[in-house]
Amino acid sequence: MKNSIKVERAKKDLTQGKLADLTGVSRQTINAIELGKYVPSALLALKMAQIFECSVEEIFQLEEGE
Amino acid sequence: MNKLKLLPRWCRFLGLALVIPCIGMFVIDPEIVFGESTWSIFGGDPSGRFVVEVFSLFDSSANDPNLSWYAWVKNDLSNELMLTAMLFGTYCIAFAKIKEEDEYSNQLRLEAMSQALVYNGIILLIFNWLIYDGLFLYVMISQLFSFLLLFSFIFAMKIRNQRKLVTYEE
Repeated sequence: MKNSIKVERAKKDLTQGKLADLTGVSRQTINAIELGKYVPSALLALKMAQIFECSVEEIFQLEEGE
Repeated sequence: MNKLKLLPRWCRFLGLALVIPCIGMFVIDPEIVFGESTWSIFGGDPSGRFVVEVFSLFDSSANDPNLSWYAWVKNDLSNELMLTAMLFGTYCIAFAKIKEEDEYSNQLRLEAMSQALVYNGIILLIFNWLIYDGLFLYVMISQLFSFLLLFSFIFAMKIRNQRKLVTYEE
């Protein structure tokens, strides 16, 4: 699963640390999600969508074959 | 968020304080696990200073091969104390919270647990074919804690690697 968290963060001028604080997780978690090493829970994905003021599908997209 | 029920963070330090001396004592004198050379490493009485009469569910004497129930027997408690400290300590280390506990750390914990299970099995299999007779008793005793110790080590390495990775990002 690919994601556009980095782009969305840049749009909102948020650092990984700031996004981590807003979502209530660690910076390591945000980093792992951005790198595609970890797929977040639905709750965390919804929280991110709320912060970025967009839908979950705009942040997370399925890759071919998934 | 649905987090695992874990012990407070200070339990990790309590666990280390219990486990490290036990491992140290075992390294100095492996016989200590049988409670027979009790505290001889400290120059104490080899017959043991923790010999007390304890309640035993079963009892068998050398002369009588039949088991009897509910007996009061004389026993050196040092190895029981050590086993309790090791079990309590390893659980405290393995199930204490980390600094930043969240869903990703839960995922890492799960990965570490499955890896520890595999590595522990491989180690046991190797020792099964390399260590024989009475010495295998040490392998069996170490297997009581090896899984939790391996799990704690792998989990700590995963957290450390993740922290390292983050410092180079952003």
